Amino acid sequence: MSQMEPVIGLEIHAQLKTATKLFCGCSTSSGRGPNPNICELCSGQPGALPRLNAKAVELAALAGLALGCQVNEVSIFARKSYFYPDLPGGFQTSQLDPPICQGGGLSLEDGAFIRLNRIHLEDDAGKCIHDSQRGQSLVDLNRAGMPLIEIVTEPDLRSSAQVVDFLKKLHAILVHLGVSNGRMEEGEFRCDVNISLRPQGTEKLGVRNEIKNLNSFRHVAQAIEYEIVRQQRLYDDGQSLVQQTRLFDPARQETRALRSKEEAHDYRYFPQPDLPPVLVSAELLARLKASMPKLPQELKAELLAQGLSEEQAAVLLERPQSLEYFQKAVAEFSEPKKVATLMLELFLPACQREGLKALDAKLKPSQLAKLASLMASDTLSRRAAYDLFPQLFAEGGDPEALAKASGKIQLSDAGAIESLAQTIIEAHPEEARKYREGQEKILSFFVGQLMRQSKGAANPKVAGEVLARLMKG
Amino acid sequence: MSIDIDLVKHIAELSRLDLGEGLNEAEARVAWEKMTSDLASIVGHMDIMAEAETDNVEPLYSLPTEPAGPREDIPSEVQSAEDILAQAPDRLDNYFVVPKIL
Repeated sequence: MSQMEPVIGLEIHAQLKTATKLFCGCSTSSGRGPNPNICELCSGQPGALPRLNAKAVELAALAGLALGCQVNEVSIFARKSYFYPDLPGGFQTSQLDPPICQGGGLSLEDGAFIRLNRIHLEDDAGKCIHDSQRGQSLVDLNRAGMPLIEIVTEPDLRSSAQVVDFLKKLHAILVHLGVSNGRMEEGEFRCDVNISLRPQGTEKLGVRNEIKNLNSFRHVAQAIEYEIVRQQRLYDDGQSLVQQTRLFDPARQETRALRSKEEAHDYRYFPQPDLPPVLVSAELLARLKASMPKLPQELKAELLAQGLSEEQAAVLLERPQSLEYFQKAVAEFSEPKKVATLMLELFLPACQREGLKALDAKLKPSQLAKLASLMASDTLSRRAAYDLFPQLFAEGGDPEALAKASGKIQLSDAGAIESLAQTIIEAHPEEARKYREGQEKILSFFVGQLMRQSKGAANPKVAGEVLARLMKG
Repeated sequence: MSIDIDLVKHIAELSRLDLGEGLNEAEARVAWEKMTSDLASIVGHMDIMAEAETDNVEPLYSLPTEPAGPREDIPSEVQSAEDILAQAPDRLDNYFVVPKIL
């Protein structure tokens, strides 16, 4: 029984963010029951001819540039034939050789570099629902013809943690560039995992199994963990592994065989005669390069350099529009760390509760910046800011005006606090005596009293100093 | 390329075709053999092309790109979903209905 090492490669399908399908003018919208957007082409009617969506080509090339691929000036489509009712034409239009992008890769947190084999364009299939009661199947072709890129890695991954890190980074890049909306629950970003085991230190690849159609990071990790244990057990028992396609069942937390190699498809690829080659001109590549926004990795490095924590940077990069909101707020109040803290503690949770994108909130970046600056100058206590926040978030407006109107402007003026402190000390002679005798902890009791009597307006730090001075003096 | 009856049966299987459907065993064998010899003759005819001198010639995957070049990403105004559903041999609401598959 030797120590085995997992060898993992991925095939990721990402839906491109276009208005129309890959080869016809049908809308890519969904959610209006079955078959709202189908036409002669995507429903596979004889004689209908495809025309390639130029935007899809641009998005695929953009993904290739961001991932360091070679973007081919000329690539071609091929027909991949198989029979299934979700594929009305009897073939999927995909790319075999050459694909639109080749090579490239992505670095992981642990320093590993995961090479890409290729990125190619292809159309999606429809969806079948199996109606076992009536003994029939129902077909929805709304997804048929949706524009996809398939991103294929080399077998460079060695653990579920690496796979999840890779997928999260890839997802962030595609969403950030506007290549894909990446809504995993809608199937817009899904992953097939190829996994085999081999004795540690050897080069030869073992028999692989493919787990199809995983559409959450959690399921990917669970499926890989299950598969490693399953394959290890077979090796330990001296059984040979059969090459299989498997499905992950989240309810049972296991993978199950879908088909074995003997039943494997013979796709009979050949060049799609109805489509001209895909051309990516030098001009288009230059334009895409010039318009390419900074990548998440670069943005993260900039945020860390501004003093933000890893977590703050990650959240700002992940939530919709929150980075843009942050940058606008920082332009008004240049304390990035303070702005980020306020956003993570109050603003973004509120956006999430209301289902709002950051820039759609009533509270504008300049107003949040003002709130952060009032807190930074001790004009507004942390507690007062929390009290005011729900109203500010719901209605927007000037935080200073609202704070004044509701009497929340903080008393930092030692003179004003002093008279209040004096009254409180006189009202609690017993506690004051204990403090003078050395029970310093009791100071927090006095600060609490003072905060209450000032209705939260006093600056607790100044209050503590004044109280201590008065009692000791 | 040589075409034998096993290859024809494999291709038929992939295409969900059964040349022997409704025939007795002897008739079915004749049908498969006829298809095999027909296909062999067609493919053999195509082999003439293999004699052409193609060294240093770039493969031509398709004819010139016009007029079927890329199109703008603008949704079509023609809505043909209902027309297409109406052609279906069987439907349930807006689903196509097909024999049970698994």
